[in-house]
Amino acid sequence: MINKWCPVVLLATVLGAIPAAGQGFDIKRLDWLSQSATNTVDVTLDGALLQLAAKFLSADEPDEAKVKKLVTGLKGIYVRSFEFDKDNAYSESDVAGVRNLLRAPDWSRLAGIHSKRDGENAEIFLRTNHENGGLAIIVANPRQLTVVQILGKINLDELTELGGNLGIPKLDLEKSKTPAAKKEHE
Amino acid sequence: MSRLEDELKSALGRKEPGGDFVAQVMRRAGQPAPRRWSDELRMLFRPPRLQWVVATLVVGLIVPFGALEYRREREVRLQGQMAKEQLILAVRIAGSELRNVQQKIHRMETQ
Repeated sequence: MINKWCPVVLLATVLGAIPAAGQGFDIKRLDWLSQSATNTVDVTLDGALLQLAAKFLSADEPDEAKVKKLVTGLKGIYVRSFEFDKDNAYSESDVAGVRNLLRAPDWSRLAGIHSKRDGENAEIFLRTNHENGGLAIIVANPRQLTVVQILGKINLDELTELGGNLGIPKLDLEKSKTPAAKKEHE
Repeated sequence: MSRLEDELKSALGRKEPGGDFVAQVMRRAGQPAPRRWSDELRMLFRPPRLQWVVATLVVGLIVPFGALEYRREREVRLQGQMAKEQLILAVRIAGSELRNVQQKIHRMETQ
């Protein structure tokens, strides 16, 4: 009896492990890094929760109205940001694991920056081969790793405009940057 | 006529009531009869009237249902507020990272 169902169970397990067409990469594979991180930002909003969040955005508040407009065509938004108190708390293979999921034909690399001076790598990927579109950002420096995945129709100009422009307390994400990076910012 | 006859006539003769007689009777009629403790005790065990039974049932159903609905509504509102804050945070992080990359590319191009 057990043998009869084994192939079915195995097939279901394998199919379950493969992301359905149209889904993005599984950002949760990075969650284990929160164990060694000093600060973690973990946002997972999709489906009904994203719609609920959008409902609570006020159309009268200018910033919230902009966000409301931006998220109209979104299917999901996922953010993982980890800050570490020492350098190299995560390995390059962790980032490579995510990067490998952002491959053609679904994703294409829009831009990439590698700074030897402050050890920062930043990459932007666009989901072009999909009707809904999407955006992925990977920013990695010795003490911080941030991965953003946005699924759905996204206006990059509107998103850039909203970056750091919303009336919420600024995160203390600058702390972890190396002195060289801080200098560059100054 | 003897004196006795006069006295009898006077005692049995018709007398007109006082002027406030009617008012006194009406007042007495309006007052409930004083209850005894045994009557009070008996009333406790009387079957309740139908309207009170209905009213009790309605209140008994409406109040818990209302409380449940209020609690559910509050939970949804709380969840919505938290989701909204997370969404704003996510948009802010995504936007600022995108802006940083754009600025760095621009800087590199101008150098």
